[in-house]
Amino acid sequence: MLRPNKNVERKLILKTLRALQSQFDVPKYRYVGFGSMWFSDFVLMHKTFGTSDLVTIESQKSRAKRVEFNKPFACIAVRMEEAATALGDVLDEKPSIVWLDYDGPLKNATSGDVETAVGGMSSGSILLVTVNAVVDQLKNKKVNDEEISPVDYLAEICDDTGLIAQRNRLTRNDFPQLVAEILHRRIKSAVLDRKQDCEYVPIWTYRYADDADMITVGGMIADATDKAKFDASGAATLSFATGSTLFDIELPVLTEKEKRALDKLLPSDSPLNLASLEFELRPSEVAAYQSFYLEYPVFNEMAA
Amino acid sequence: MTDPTYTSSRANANPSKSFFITMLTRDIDLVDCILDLLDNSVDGIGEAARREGRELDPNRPFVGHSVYLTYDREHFAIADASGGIPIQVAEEYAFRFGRPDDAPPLNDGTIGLYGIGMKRAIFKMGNVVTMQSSTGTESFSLNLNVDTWRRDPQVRRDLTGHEIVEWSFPLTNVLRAGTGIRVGTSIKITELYDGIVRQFDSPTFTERLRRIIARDYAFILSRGLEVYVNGVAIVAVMPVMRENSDFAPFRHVEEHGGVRIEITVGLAAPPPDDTSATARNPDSGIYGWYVVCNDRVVVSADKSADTGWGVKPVPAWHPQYIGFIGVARFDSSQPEKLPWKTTKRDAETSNVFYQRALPTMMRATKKLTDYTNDRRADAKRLKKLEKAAPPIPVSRVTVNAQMKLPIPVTKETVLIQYVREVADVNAAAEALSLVGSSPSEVGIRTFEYFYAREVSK
Repeated sequence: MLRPNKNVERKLILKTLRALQSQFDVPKYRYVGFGSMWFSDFVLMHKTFGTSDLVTIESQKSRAKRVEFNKPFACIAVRMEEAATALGDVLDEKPSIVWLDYDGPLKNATSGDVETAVGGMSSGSILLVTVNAVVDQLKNKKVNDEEISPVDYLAEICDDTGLIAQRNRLTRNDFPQLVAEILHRRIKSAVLDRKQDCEYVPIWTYRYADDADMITVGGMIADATDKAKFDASGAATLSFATGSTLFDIELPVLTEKEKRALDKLLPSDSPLNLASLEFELRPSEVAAYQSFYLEYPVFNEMAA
Repeated sequence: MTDPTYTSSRANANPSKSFFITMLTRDIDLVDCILDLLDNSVDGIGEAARREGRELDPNRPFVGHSVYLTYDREHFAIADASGGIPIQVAEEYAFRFGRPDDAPPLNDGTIGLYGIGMKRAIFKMGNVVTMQSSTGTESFSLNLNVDTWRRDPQVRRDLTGHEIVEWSFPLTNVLRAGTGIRVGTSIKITELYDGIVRQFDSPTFTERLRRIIARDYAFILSRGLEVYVNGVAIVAVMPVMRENSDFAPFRHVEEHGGVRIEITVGLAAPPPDDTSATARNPDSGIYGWYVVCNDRVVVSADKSADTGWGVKPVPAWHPQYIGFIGVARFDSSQPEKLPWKTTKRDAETSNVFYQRALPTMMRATKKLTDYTNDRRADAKRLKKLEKAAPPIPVSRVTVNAQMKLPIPVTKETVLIQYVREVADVNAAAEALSLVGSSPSEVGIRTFEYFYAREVSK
């Protein structure tokens, strides 16, 4: 499946990390993620920064051989464990970048992994969390054998009765924003509760949909010194590092031929003229492409 | 050698301000400090009514009263319209460290009783305090910089050179009549201490505070008080028990020496089917015993020996008892008689009234734990009955001398099953002259052999 939006999201995060590199020794960080069979984020980290302290966490024991077989570089350590267990071990206060990239619903992120990760991270470390943000994940849920309303289920999985007041935001379009807030709040709580002298500095809030609506949030755990370094890095001035404000990545899936036709018109200071194209695209799609044409992936080897 | 000359002298035993500030704030949780302030607001309602000779509705005495709590990284504030502090009370009692012996008697249903709550809360949170209080006729302000106050020893020497302590807080804008300021008290604390800032900023703290108020103030909220935390109204979480024609919670009321004791025990939810370690059971955090003093919950969901668990003949708490709720309420117009500790977050179990209630609490606990054992033989049918009984708030449970529970129907026969080595079973079969018959036949005959000789007559 072609996932241009996910692909661009990774590259925007990498670009932000590159800005941080002026103040932080990003190449020396430990990168911890869920590499699965594809390791796309691992490849980018290794190629961009030469990061060689890489750890992938895989909980499905039946995939052990596939993970080992598919890992692209020797420097990737494989932990065949539940994230909760592995995160507790892997993070030993070394500056790290941890990306909890769940395919699944919000519930994955509220079961303790965030808290475990934060507990093991040092100042200057970065935590990212990705979850599915489709509101249907709250429907038809049972707790203790009894049907439970979506808002009660949300309060239950987040352990936050305050969310009951948010029931009118449980719609297809509003829920992703709420999910982002919940995740940022959760990380902030974990930092304030577990990391003396540190604050949480939100950096990213992405919404994208290659298939289902997804949310990625992330930020830095920073003491006063690292917060000052963060400010000095200028990362927060990047147009796509919006802190806790939602930033949409909504790129169209283009054929190679369409991509080349658009590229030929770029860069351009003014918005591209839709009428001049030989094929139809929505204005928002063209605008998104214009913003991220350099990050847009070349899928030619997979498109067949 | 001359005889020594004996005279008498005095050793200075005056307290230091730093000692008081440290002592008061050590070991107290920020949430408890906030609840102390809330207690003062609740007490203020009753006191104002008494001053003005008004009758309060006995069932909903706090109706129409709201308390607003707000906080962020910069400040904490509490504001009520509960009647305010009269100037004379402020001058003589309200700011003393501890209730002086000559203070006016405590009134009906008072929950703030040790006279340290407000100071403790202030010293715990921050350095600068602004307070204003009005009774509708009188009013005053108090502006205090704790650090400046701490540095000023406020002592003088008498004629003989001995130190005399004269601690006080400065009251300003004192108006003894005709104030235009609205009735109520507001306290604002700024220059918050570091640890406090972090807690006020943490969403987990807010959630915890909300939950604790919802639970510990459930009875007070149900009697009309409204509490807002950063603008959000708190909804009481009242213990519930299932009641219908099959089920009736136990409820017992007695009165002794000016203390009313009320014990209610019942089932809030059906006990779980699977209680093994790996079973996913509902949060057991709401089940267990509650101890309530003058409407203030001081112990919640207790599963310890303090409320009789694990004290013979009551078994120790086990997930099998999920669903159990017991509420022991103590009410008195003399709050010092009640079984609570200064933090109001624990029961004073050595208290005579508590000791009097405990055997009744334990009897009722035992009755319900026995039921959860017996019901296993008939769990499917009983679970349906349990679910059919609607949960009602504990305050609406009627007095029942006996707990009513459905009777589990047990079968007349049971199945015995065990494993033995083949050689032994064959040998037993041979001895019974049963060679070639089934092992279960051997089992039956060996049981009958034993029964005929050792049991039946």
